[in-house]
Amino acid sequence: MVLTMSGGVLSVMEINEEDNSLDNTSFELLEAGGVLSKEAGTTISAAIIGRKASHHADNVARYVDRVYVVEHEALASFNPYLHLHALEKVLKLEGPSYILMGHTYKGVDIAARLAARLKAPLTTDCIGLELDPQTRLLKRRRQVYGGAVIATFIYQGEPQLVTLRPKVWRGRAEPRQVMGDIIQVDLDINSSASKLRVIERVKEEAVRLDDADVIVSGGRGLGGPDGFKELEKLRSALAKGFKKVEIGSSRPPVDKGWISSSRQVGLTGEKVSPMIYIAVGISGATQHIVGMEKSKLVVAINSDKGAPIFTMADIGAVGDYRQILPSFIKKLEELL
Amino acid sequence: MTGLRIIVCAKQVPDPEAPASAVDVDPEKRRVTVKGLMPVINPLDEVALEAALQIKEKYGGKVTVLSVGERLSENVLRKVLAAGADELILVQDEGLDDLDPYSTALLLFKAIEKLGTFDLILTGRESADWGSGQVGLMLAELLGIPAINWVKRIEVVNGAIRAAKVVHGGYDLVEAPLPALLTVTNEFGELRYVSIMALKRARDKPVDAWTLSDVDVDPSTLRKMEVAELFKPRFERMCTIITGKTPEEVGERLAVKLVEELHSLRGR
Repeated sequence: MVLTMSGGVLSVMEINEEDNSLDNTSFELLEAGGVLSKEAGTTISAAIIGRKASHHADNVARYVDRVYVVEHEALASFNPYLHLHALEKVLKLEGPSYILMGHTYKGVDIAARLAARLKAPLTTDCIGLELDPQTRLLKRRRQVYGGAVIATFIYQGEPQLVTLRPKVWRGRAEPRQVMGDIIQVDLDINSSASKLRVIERVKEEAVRLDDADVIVSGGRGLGGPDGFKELEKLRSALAKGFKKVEIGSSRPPVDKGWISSSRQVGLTGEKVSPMIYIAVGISGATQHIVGMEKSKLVVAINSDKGAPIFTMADIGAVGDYRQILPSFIKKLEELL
Repeated sequence: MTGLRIIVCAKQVPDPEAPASAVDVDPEKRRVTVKGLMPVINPLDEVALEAALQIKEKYGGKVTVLSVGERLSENVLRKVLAAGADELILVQDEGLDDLDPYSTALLLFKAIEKLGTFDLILTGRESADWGSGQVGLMLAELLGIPAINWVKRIEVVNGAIRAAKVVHGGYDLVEAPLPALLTVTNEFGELRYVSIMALKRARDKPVDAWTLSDVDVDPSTLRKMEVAELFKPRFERMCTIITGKTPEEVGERLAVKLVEELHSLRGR
């Protein structure tokens, strides 16, 4: 089979179910898709899938040649089978050579199933995307080995399928002079369309770490959930000098149930870039480092002077955090 | 129901706790090697095993752990038997390292076909090495069974699975009929403690070793990952270690230094 790569780029939009807003990931996908379609000299289209998808059609049409709108009551909650069913309808109409999705709980859930159905190699969580001018294949860059290594993958085959890590692209899609066509897609959903049932969405502590000025994070070295009470004292002292100070965590405290997973910083958690990141009792496994390495100033407190976190910190203190924190907090209160 | 037949898919990986300095990249062969440490069971697959053991304890059943790879260490993987799994099946053969996610799923699919009937398949949401996070969902597609991704809590209700699926800012409560596949996240909780005594006792538990021909897979149908380029990013900073006669003094000086650095950062 000769591959032509003659199709266009399709960016799959994401809608937040709670307020029917278009997630910023969507604009990131429009930006990356726009660049790619220019390089490939092809068209760009977008798919909007949701209960009130048409609400966003005009907005998205400013950035693409065609917008496919799939609207249905059954798409009110996120059901991967129904959303995939809707996307497959769009694929039949558009026949794209490149499909871009967000590396979010939705994007991954749909993309991996789609890749299996199409037998199209998928690269998830890409942090870089380039077009090879000769082959017109995608060079897909991602972190592997917990972030210790960066790999570029090139796969034959069509469509070229990737999920992009949120916030790597800035979401600055370029509006065009002419609005794209809006195509309404009918969706028939029968009882066999989904293999599962979404009963309800349960909201938990909503934490935003990505816009914090300061993050005080604890790790395994805290020794137990009470360690976070000590960190809370440091947090409230810092809150006098900064607008937004949050508690964070490496993975072990989450695994051990000491703290909510919404505070996890790292490869499978949040990627943060605060002014100050204070790591207490965190050894510095690579999968944690890649979540905080963009912090401007890193302070590490650890009892093990050989802990890798010190190679990633600007200022360090070796010792028992329980003994160091009280005077640290007191002095900060004086100085801030 | 007379108990659930549970399969856990577990991958052997280089120890993710290894420092970045132990990770070596061979740009020519486009391979990654990790020096000095024993391989481990992928931590998130261990979480999947913990989930399986808790379900078995609550509803009865049998837990089979399945692992595929080129050079599997029975010593490493026997830990699953010590933790409480009933049997371990290894599919081991030449050329099974660095398969692409679809080929890995295909291989697991063929092994599971050979195993016969099952109610539940559990696996980690991604591996600590290549970490593509696709294999579980692809396996479910091949089997034609429902899959719930990123699960942190599981219940069996009237012969169906009810799971808390992690979403942004909370979870979705999702129900699927059995048989089903779930990928679990770290929020589920760590694998229970495994004692040396338990490891010794596990020596008598059954381990089956299969090859590609045992699971009826033609090696030419398996594809490798296509790695074009590999490099190691550097994340180093020059760290000033604050010292003092007492921890209290260290704490005070640390605060002074932090504020100082902050001022120069803000350009004051």
